[in-house]
Amino acid sequence: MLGKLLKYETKATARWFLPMYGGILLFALFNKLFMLFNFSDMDVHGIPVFFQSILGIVQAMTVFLYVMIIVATFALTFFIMLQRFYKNLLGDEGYLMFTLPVDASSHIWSKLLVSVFWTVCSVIVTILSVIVMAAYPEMFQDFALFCEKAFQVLFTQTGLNATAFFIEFVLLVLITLFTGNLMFYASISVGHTRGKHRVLYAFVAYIVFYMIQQIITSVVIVVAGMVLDTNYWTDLMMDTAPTTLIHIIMIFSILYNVVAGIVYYLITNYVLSKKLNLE
Amino acid sequence: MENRVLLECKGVTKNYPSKMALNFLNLTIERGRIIGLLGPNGSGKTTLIKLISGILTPSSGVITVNGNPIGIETKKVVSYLPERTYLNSWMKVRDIIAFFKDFYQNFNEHKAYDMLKRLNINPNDRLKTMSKGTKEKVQLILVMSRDADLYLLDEPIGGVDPAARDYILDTILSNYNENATVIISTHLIYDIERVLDDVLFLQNGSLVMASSVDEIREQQGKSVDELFREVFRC
Amino acid sequence: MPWDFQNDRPIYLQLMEKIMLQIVSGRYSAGDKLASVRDMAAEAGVNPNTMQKALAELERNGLVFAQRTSGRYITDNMEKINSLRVQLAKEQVSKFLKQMESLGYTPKDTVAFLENNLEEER
Repeated sequence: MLGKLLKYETKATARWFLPMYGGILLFALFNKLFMLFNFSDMDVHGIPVFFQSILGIVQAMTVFLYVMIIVATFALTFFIMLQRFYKNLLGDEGYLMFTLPVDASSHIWSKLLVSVFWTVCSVIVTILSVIVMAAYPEMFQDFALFCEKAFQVLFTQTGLNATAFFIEFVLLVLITLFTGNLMFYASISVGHTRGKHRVLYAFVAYIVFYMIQQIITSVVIVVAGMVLDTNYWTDLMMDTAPTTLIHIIMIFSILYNVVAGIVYYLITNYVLSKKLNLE
Repeated sequence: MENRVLLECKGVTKNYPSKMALNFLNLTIERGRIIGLLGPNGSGKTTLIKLISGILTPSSGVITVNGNPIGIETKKVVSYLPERTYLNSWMKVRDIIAFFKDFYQNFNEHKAYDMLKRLNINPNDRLKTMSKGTKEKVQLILVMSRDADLYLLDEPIGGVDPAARDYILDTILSNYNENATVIISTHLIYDIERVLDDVLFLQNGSLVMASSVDEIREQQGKSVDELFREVFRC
Repeated sequence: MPWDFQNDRPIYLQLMEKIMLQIVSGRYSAGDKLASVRDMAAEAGVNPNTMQKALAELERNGLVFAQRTSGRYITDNMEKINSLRVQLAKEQVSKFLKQMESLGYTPKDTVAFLENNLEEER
């Protein structure tokens, strides 16, 4: 059933995102075309100054619109994430969704996976659009060269394990996305358990969750600081390479986010399966 | 022997912050009945139906359908028509039929298209462009096109014109089968009395009467509609 | 077109009466096969269980009989149909007499009145 839910969730959201992606790439293309023309050259060919300044304005406009569409796309990613959970599951459309023979966890996963999917797609499309604008014949060779340089500075010289760091980084970003979404879902769900002022309670829940996370983070840092201050640990630290420390921090961040995500998931799942009250 | 009991409510209570919507309700309903769930506004009709369909959670008590507590198994066999429109308005009728077919194994696609044709509804129309009445008809078609065990129809004849009302009652009757039960909530009893086997009277969240239509007529010498007006005279 | 029903009596009784009337008036002939319960219920606009009950009662009265596999039939016993006709006629007459009485006619007056009326029409 999760597969079917994913199919319909993607369909329902694609009609928002695909036009935006088309817009981003189209305006990137416009910008590229404008960049190919050099207006000061045109002056020599006898184009009036007036016409030239209009072209300048249009060029500035396309750049502005390009940036705006990107901003709008990311705002949309966020808005759709909230709206699909709040309206499609806990609004009128929930009457349909929660009478389907599907369990609550499938609903959560379908919303979550599709939301993360679109966030990743938005990032990829934005990168693509930059590539479109920056494109020149030797771009890929140059880029490879740049990567090689960067790699040397970051990894070869520091001795950091590149593959491990890369995997850790991607994992951390993805898991932060999942946990971030689940934090909103859990907040909305907690708000749903109240009879009235559900949106207000959702806000309050979000702030409370945020504060709890902050407190836990602070406590961990303080405790870690105290523990590490002892002689045994200080000696050990001296012997440990800073690159190892980076790995430890990355892995710890990942685990921390995973645990937070699981807690938010459990809260959401509990409310949707045991405390559902659609009005 | 096959178990004729379809729905059971044991001590079902539902509290809202401001009031008690259902008060320790006990109820057993068999297969093959058409049942009127009657009561004034706010008597708990909608609450009961929403509890059975699983979009509300009882404060206490147990509800079972076919012996299963409310959950995936019961949602497979319960077909629910809410009192509001709940369909995604950007979809075409055709898309929604595909949606139902995808999720409900007991959905009969041919039946749905047949009924659409009889009501002159174009499957390629978007719900956005439809009138409220047409949307309600589409929802009824979707709900009745499932070969379910329990149909829950919340105020299906609420705001519709007489022709549509006759069509709805006709649909309910022609879809009747002896293994399925239909529960219709309404406060317009006069129109549907003749299609009902039994009636349940709810008042302030309690069941005040459960009887068959003919029993009421035989014992009271008056129609359920008349009795209802007397009981709930305000 | 759904049938009309009175409010003060069980619907199944009224269904029985209507079917009996149809038998006597010849809309159903002796030995005719009846439509399925579901179809008859849909025609009358009533619940199939109610129609079922009406037919079961008619079966008990011997006006309708069921054959295990092929469905229900009107009785082919003419005697039964004739006695039903007489019974229904009796009911009508007694009802009529009652109403005439409320207008101040004794049964005798009523008979005389009827005869006069028939003379005039002729």
